[in-house]
Amino acid sequence: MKRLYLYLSISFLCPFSSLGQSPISQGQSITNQWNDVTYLTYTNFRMRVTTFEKPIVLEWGRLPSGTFSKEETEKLKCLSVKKYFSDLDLDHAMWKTYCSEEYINILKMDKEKFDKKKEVDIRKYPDYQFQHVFYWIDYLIDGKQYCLVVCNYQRKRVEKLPKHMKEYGKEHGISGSILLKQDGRWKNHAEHKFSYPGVMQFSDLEELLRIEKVGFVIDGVEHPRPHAVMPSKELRQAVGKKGRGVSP
Amino acid sequence: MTANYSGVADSTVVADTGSGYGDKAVHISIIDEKKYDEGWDFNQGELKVIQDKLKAAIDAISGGDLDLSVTGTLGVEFKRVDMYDDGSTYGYFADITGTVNANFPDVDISSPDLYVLPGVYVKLAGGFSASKISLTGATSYDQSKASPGIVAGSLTGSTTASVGAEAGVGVDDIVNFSIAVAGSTALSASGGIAVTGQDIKATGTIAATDFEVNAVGNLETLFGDLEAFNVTHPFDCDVSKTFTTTLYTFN
Repeated sequence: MKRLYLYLSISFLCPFSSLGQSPISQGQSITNQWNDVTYLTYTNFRMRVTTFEKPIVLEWGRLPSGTFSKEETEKLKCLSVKKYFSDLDLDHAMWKTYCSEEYINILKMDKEKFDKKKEVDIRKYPDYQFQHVFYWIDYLIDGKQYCLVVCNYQRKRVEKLPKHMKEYGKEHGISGSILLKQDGRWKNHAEHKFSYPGVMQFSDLEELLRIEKVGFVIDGVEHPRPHAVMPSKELRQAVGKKGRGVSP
Repeated sequence: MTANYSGVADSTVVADTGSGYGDKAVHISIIDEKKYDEGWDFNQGELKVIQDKLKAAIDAISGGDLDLSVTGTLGVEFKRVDMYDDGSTYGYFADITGTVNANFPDVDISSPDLYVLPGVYVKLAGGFSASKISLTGATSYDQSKASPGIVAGSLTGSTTASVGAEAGVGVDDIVNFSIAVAGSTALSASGGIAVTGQDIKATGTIAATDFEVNAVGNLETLFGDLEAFNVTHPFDCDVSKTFTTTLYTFN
């Protein structure tokens, strides 16, 4: 229902929409509200999913023309700098301003390594010409704000958000970029906290939306990953949550 | 009347025939006997069927032709005795003690290269190690005693499975990854030794099931960046082998 309402809102706000076939401009997003998610062990956890019905497409790491908010622009710049720095007019000092300390340390990216990687000509790899941003998941975990941007790289432009991301990812490959909001701005980031359930489900958009909706995640015997469930009344009471959309 | 029977061939034992009657010599005539020490390092014999099934199970999992290493000995002794040497009463004696272990060599398992990004692959690889199937005899059965005991034994199995994510083509390094497994990675074995009618049989099942591995982590690409990946691969290890072999038939 929430998504339907958002679709309707978007249609209403687009004066050029024709009935039944709304042209969606690149990057037009559907952002859900913040949702508490109970992981039984990690209780201080909120998430919200933003999907792009028409994916944002960066060509050779360049941001597309369009109206993006400051937050969106910051996130997209991080993506650009992250993989395409060899193709950009960017030195090590400037690159570091887009990265958290943890990210730099994990990569062991000192100036020497950076200069070496600058020599890798990404344009020799045509499969990386277009970077598609399909959706991102904002997380609030223990007071820190993270974002996991889910992308796909191809030599051809993809015009529409695939219907079944999990299957699409198996065929075409999708990966994630982890960002952290630090000192008031988004930075490329990596840390083990992203072994959290729910975050790990990033390649399965349908499951992410289920987790958002249900608000509970639990380990399962039959599932390789923790998944959305509506636990028993007793369990919900034990963790002090009622669960959304369900009568207690 | 009670008599202590030593378990060796035709014997004369001293039996306490009850108060007031004193001790009398009782001759127990053994009319059928089978004694052997059995390990699994043989190509013939009653336990061969078990050995063959174990090997078939592990070969199915590994996709190869592996040799088992075997340790231990199962001491087996069966007898049918004429209790009073007059043909009036027959009794059975069975003793199976010890343990034989079939130790499997380490088995490697590996997924194909799993696609993450153009030209970038990860692999899920690992193996089964310390896999062992044990058949333990726990039979002490003597019909000449007031409490004859039981014919019993157990078949148990254990293994240690491990799987990890490895850098494939186009990956400089993998960091911060974690693994989740759905399904069982245990090599199970169940069964034992029991009497079925006149037969003492060893029966059991050795089984492994399919399992699915999901790996999530960060990989460093050749471009000098970290990408979060999420890959899943089902490992086909489904195999179940049942066996039954008659160790001895009481005639």
